[in-house]
Amino acid sequence: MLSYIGRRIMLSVLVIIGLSVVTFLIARVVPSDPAARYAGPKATVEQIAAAKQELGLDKPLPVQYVRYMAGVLRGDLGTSITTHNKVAQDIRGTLPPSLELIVLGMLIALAAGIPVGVLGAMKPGSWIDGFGRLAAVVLVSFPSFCLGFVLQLLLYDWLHLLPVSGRVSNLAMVLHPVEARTGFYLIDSALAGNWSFFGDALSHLLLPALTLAAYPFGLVVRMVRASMVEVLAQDHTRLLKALGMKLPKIAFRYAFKLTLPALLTVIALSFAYSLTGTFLIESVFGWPGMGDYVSKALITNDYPAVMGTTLLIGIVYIGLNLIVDLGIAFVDPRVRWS
Amino acid sequence: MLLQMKDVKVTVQSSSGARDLLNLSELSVAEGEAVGVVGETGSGKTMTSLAITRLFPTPAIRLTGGSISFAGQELSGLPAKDVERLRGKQIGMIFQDPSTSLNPVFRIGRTLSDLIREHHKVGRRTARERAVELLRRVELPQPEEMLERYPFELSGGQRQRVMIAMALVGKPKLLIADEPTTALDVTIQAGVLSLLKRLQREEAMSMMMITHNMGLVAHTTDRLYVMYDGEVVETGETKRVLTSPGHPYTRMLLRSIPSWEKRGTKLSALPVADGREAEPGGEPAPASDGRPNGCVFAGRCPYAEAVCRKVKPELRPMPDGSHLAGCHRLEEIGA
Amino acid sequence: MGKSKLIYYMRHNALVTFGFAILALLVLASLLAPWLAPYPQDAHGAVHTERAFLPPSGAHLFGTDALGRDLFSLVLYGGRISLSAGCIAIVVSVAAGALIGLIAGYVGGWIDEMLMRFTDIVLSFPPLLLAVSIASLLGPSLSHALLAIMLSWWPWYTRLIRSQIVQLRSAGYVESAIVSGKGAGAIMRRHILPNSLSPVIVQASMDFGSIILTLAGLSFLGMGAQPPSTEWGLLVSQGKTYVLSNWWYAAFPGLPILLTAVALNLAGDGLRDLLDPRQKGVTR
Repeated sequence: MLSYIGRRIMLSVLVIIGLSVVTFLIARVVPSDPAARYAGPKATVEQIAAAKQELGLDKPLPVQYVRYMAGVLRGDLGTSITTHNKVAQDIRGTLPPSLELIVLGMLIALAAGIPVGVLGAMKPGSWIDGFGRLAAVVLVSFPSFCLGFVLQLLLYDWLHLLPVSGRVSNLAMVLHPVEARTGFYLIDSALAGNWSFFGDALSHLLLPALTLAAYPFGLVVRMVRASMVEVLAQDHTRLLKALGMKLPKIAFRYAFKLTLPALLTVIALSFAYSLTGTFLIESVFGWPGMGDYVSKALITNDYPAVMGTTLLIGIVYIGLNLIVDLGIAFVDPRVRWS
Repeated sequence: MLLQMKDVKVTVQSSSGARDLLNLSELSVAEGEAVGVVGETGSGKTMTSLAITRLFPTPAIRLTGGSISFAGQELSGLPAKDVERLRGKQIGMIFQDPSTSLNPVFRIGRTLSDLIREHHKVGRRTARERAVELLRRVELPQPEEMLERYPFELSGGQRQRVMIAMALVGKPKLLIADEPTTALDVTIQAGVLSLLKRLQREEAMSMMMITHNMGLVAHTTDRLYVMYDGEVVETGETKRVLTSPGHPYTRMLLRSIPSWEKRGTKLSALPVADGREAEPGGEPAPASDGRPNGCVFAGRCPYAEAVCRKVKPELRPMPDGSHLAGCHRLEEIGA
Repeated sequence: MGKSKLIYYMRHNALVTFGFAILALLVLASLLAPWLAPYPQDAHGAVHTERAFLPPSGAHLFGTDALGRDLFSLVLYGGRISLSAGCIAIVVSVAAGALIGLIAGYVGGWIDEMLMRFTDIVLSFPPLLLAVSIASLLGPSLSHALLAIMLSWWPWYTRLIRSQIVQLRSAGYVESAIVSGKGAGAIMRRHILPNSLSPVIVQASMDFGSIILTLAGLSFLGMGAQPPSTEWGLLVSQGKTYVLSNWWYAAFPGLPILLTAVALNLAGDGLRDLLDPRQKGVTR
């Protein structure tokens, strides 16, 4: 078990180094001249050269890489070409809104997807199974940006239930301001006991979170159902059934634990999807998060910003996969003890 | 009679149409009696047990006819929900493979207590005490410690005993043991069998022992049903059937058991079904239920003649009157 | 698989049949775009500002866009771009991935080890992220977006094919073929390829849907097809500012994306049941 953990961590570190090299190289061969853009459109040759020196672009590539990585280890991801802020600082500002969105989306997907998947597997061919499978296929296939529009039309324009975009209304911002402590509006307002702000922020969060939850919901339903069907056909669940245990108890307690590896895998997949899904969804909902930041940086060729966020997202993704793999190993006592 | 099955039909619906998996003329188990159901893989012996508790693996397999009466209650017309209520409480089951029949990620104690609390209104602590008591009854050493173990920490024989303890939780009137020792080492089999026998006597349970092993039923059962292709071909007191088998199929089964007395002689293997397809000319048209007319065993029977392929033989007394067999030629081929 | 069994299957799986039907319809409509489109010149640069933002009507089934172009015609022509681009991407990634997987699985040894570790690393990147960074590196265009998609998709097939081959090599019937002295080529052709192909076909048909979605997403972000292309994702992106005032502008180009993905998912489910019954009900 220990050697397995060690091997798994080693591989992850290797992959992260690989990722950093790749992102670094990609960013460095960007055809347009970043120094010229940093210095501005009316810059003289001297100013561009100075900018080049300031950005460290005059050094050979390996030196630049080592300097960049040394900075990364100190938490310095370089300076954004467009905002002229430290990238790390930009990310600190945009990460909480994105995480808020991703976490709520995942929670919605799991809370809805697990019961639908399990119930479908308990009664294959029943109406709830049919509904679950159809919903899964449609939601997995829905282009997220289109789904965003549909929800905006439905819940804002037609039913007037939820606000259409933004993170919080100006009114709440002015009338019930909240001191930023963590950057997560829900947490900050809850800590301050400011429930009107909390409600306002939550209502703004719901539309994009629902949109983001669609694809993971589909994945969860499919994976949980498939895995559950398999486990329910195994001898030990059949035995419990033959000995009079009620099916819901068998499914949700005994079989469910054996579907955990599949579930953990799907959570990691969904999380990865959500990380990049925010690229599209945040631009639809004007959500001031990291996805929005990246998609703007992409269009303006802001390479330090792209590099920094890519690296961060990559590390989160790789770390998550590591946790999931270790988690899967831990669920099974046979692996845990060996 | 505790269990009485008559003309029970189980049908599977598939892309190629409906087919009968089970066409059982008669099967009964008296209170306190141990009955063996013997046959090869696919003979319908397991389907018989599934038909009683309606534990069919897919909805495509259904009970389509006949009567099953258990403890005075007719089951065949009952909705699935009411039949489910019998499981564990009135009818206990043990499966073949103890290595796959226990959930690998739950401790033995957890599963047992959950089952106990499913059937009896008791608290956690009492359930645990009863679990210990049950493990003691199935002769497992250090039962308290056993409760904390995962199935992979037990031997095959120990797991089979845990399964038996689980089946005893609801104090069933009938225990169905489906190949209870097939997956075990020969040295362990005897212990598990004598445990089953003892429990059956002490608890005054009836037992249905499903197996392909003739040697096994000889020691553990009072009466015997020999099945072939979903039908009963011979039945009677175990001793009688084993000493004077009537049906050619039963004889073949017995002859294929290796034994000390027969050393040096050739073991007879069952001839492989030459298949109904194999003789297109002589093949009678199948009846509407997808079964051929005539005897189910005719295709493999060395004694088969014209009548065997046309008319289905009824179970009838052996020439010596000892028990029943379903064969047209009992007299000609008699012992 | 007999014909009658296929028909039985189709009858009993209305959803699968529905998937194939939708797919056929979409492909047909795109192929016949020049004959079906009421305003073919609109897909080739014609602009009529005087009829901008007309809602759906008999004359304009899907309404018109900001430039007064007939959206129905644009969507028909867009299908040619989106579907063929998706096709190219999937075919190239399957071919490249399968080739590498075949080499790794059949040659084995350190070559296998090296190829598979490399695949592991590529697979460790979040999928869209890799595509986005490659597309941003090469500059925004449809072909660059396609290249980016192919570069991030091939390892899935490498892994799939390799695991199939490793599994099959130790299968009883392959070993017996080896023992009976059949040549490597014959074994490859007769046993390994046909058996490892089914899961690849199934996976590819499902991934086709994801690729169409990713391509549309890249175009939506401005990293894919560029105007005046009529690629579906780009059309949606052009309509996004008018969602609340002129819903049809973004909705009708979005609909075929959804339909294609749904159809491919359903068809993939069906193909899996038909070709690879062991995997029934299991999705990645």
